[in-house]
Amino acid sequence: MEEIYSDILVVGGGAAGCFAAIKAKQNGAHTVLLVDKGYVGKSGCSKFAAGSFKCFIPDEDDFDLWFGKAIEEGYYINDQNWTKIHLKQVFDRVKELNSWGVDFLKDKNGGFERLEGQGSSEKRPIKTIMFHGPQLMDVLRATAQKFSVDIVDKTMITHLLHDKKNSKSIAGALGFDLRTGEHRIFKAKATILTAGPQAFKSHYAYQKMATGDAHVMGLRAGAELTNYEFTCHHLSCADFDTTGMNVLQGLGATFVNSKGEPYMKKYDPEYADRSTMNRLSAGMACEVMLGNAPLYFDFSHFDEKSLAYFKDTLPIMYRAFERAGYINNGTIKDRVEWVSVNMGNVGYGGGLKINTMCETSLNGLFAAGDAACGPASGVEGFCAYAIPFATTSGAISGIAASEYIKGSEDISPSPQEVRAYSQELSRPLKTLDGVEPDYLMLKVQELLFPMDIYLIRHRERLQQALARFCELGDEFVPFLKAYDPHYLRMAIEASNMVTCGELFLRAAITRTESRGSHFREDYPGIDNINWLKWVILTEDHGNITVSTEDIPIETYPMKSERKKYAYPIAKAMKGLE
Amino acid sequence: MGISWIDQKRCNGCGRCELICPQDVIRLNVEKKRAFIKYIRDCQCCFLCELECPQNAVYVTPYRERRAVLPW
Ligand SMILES: Cc1cc2nc3c(=O)[nH]c(=O)nc-3n(C[C@H](O)[C@H](O)[C@H](O)COP(=O)(O)OP(=O)(O)OC[C@H]3O[C@@H](n4cnc5c(N)ncnc54)[C@H](O)[C@@H]3O)c2cc1C
Repeated sequence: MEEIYSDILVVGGGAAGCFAAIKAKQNGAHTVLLVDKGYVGKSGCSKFAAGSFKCFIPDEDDFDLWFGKAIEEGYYINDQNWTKIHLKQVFDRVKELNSWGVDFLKDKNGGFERLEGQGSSEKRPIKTIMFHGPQLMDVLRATAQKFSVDIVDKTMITHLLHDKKNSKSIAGALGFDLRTGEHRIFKAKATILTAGPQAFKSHYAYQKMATGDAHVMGLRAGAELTNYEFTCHHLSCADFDTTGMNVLQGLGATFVNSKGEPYMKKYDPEYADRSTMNRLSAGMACEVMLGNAPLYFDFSHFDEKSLAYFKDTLPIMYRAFERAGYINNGTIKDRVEWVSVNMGNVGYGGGLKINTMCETSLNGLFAAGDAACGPASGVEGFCAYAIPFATTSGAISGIAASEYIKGSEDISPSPQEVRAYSQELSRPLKTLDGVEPDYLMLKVQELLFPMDIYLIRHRERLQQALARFCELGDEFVPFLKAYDPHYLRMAIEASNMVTCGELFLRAAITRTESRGSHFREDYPGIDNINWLKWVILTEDHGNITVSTEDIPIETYPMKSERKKYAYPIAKAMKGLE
Repeated sequence: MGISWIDQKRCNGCGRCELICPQDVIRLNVEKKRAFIKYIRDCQCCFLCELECPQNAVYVTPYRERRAVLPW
């Protein structure tokens, strides 16, 4: 088996991975290897990000407002030290991106154009800046190459390897070539996981490669995960997968029900049609229960200028709308049917628990971007907070890892693990008669995507789904069938979807209150007496274990009163009864 | 439906689409020097192959190949 050495191994080349690799190089690491199951620059959520970027600009913005809003939207689940570091560093990342060649929308005076969007109101403006979505990752690949980062494309990492002398230290990873199927050992003094989120291949646009690979690898190697109960609820067209809603909201699109009535003011008086993803989804669920479905997103009133802006900032999405017949020769034919999406932990929520240096609970293992637990944004974060966090955390992880290796001794991956994992990797290809990955993917979605599982949660329903997940894990995952290396990738992705579904359900059952995107019908209040806690997930001999850790709220700048509050959507629902 | 067509007359076998597809949907027929759609079910309709094809040989539709499980 080929063994490739680097000082630092970076797993996943989205925005976080590229920043990690570039910063590690700039900070003196000799060899940095960036490995991706796709092609760096053309894969990951970062490639398809809609261009919205919430950037705190020191000379223009009010720090207390931005910080306060981040904690409020994060429902006090944030690691507030992280939020502060993120806000203080994010403009430096923007200036850096700009100097490397990423195009940002500029105003007449050459400053960054600021746009209204989700979670911004006149009273409390939190404005977005815009980058040219499809170009960002092309520039990051070119920049990584300029800094002599070694890139290995089309190679999937599947297992972390411990050091043979120290079971608490990571000494690299195992993976395979997606074209030839050959196994490879990647030996490294430090490993940074930046393989993105778990999105359960949902009906939101362009995140089908995000299957929680980093989360599962980390979990299996002994690292802690947290925030898995806080799923991201985005919205999409019912007919085909879409993105970019934040931009269209900023331009004045509205949410209407089957009677043509705008409904969001009822559920979110301050932001109404500029409401945030989670509140929009909850509001939609209420409308569905009132019998007001189907629901629509309406931008049919857009003028030429708004439409041109749409085309310019979201060229891929614009093309999809044209192909689907909604936009014809520059005119919009109709409003579009709109639905909520459980998109796992894209942008915030579940992931590897990290400190402010991006260190996980294992030596030599770092995580950044959506592979991490969204510490800066807590349970929701504003929309357009995710690419910014990928840049700041990516940079921090690269610097921290390059410092770490300066004092580290020689490492060597455990040969027993290499042998065992290599055998495990070969199994789906050797299984004569087994389950195709498609079946498991569909089952995971059928169990996780109904609104009464992820939007309106109840212990009984969550328990029932969990029992099914355990069955999938025990009975079918060991019998996954792969015909070739491509199917092997899909089999591992399907298996990871099952594991992450279980993680979500166990965390959601544990948190007996409501908070952020976690709304429990049977515990409808926000409980700041008992639940200013993080739910921690680990694996012990193949079983997932759950524990909690107190959030050190007393040491943070923003303290929440230790009392119970009504959950806003529960209040709105009560009013509807 | 996803990626719908790679025009075999236009395709010059440069391999760009095969290289960049984030879902690993496309393969190259080495003998014929043409790209073809191998794993249609995994297409995510992201249009990258169409946008990057130097020969304008690829046509993508926005409609998913796999059935979507909607929330209501
Ligand atoms: C359609 C869409 C639009 C969005 N729009 C916005 C927006 O406008 N603004 C915003 O702030 N956020 C947006 N987001 C969210 C944002 O894109 C993500 O949160 C962010 O890009 C995460 O970056 P990342 O580097 O952590 O992960 P990713 O960009 O997902 O990168 C992960 C990389 O790891 C690779 N990988 C995965 N598994 C493995 C493995 N096992 N082995 C090797 N490589 C692997 C993948 O191929 C990928 O290249 C959007 C997300 C989507 C899906």
